[in-house]
Amino acid sequence: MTDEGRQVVETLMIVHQDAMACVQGLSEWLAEGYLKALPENIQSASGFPPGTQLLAERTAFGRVLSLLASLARSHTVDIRPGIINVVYKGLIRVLERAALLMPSAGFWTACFDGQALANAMLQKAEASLHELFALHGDPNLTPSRLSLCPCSHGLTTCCSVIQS
Amino acid sequence: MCTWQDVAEAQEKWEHASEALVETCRRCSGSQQARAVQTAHLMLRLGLEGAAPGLLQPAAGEQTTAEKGVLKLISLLAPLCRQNCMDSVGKLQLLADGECAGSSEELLSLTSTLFMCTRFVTDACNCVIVSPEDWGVAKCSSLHSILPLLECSLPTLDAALVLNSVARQLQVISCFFLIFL
Repeated sequence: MTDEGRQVVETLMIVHQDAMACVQGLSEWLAEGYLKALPENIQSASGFPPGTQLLAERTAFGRVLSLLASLARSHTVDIRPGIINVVYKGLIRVLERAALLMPSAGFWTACFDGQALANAMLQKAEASLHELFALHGDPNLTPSRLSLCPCSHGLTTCCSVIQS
Repeated sequence: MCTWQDVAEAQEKWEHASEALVETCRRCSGSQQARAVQTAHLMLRLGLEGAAPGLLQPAAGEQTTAEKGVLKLISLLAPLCRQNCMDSVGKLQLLADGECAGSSEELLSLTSTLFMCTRFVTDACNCVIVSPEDWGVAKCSSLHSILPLLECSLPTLDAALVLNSVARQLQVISCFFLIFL
């Protein structure tokens, strides 16, 4: 490979790493910065009636969540054993934190299609699991499907593998 | 010695220069545009230094004039960066898939546009959202107020996240076909 070629590949890798770090930073800020401080910020807000501001913030949050979910859907989970793509990890943390703060069913149905995201995540995870089994698995065991179990666990723990 | 009036004048000039630069970015294309975005990125950094606390003393929680200028530059340029980034990734993907041939100049130009546009967006996100304290900008508490930035940034980052596999594909192409790489 020529010097120019090496430069191109290295630059692309740097851009990728920068983008990944930025997505991680944004998810972290959403979960630990914005959502954590939201109740206090809403209470201390001046100039807006709290209801109006809360509605604006919820709508914005729903939009950002949809964008993050779309980003997560377009990138497959990392197929290295046990490691889920940082995008999913970040998104799950945001969802876990948001579930405590925005428990109204109205929010989740009006602003954000959580079921569609959960299904897309399962499909991605399932595809990666199949790849993992193809690469490293016992040929006598085949993962058939992943499903959400009806328990009240968080998203991170409520997936169960059903083997055929 | 620098007076408050000097600072205010410098900020005004910075804002005019930024607006002119945004216009240049919009009018140019290809490598010229990448250079213009690079200059805008430098302007952003310069503006952020100007926005550092202590230069102007606003009331608590209010934005300084310099901060407003920085946010304006970001809001004007972020949509252009998003479009450029998505176009460049699309073209690179075609090259990496072997669906079209490209010269080394083209490849370098696409890569440099991508680098500059993504850097602009990631710096904008970092300074406004992720770590404003490192950049001397007031902490943001309203998602609603930064929604336009996020609506540009997340699709840009989405596009940039495929570059890992594009780079690997380009390496494979270079091994088998000994092309421009």
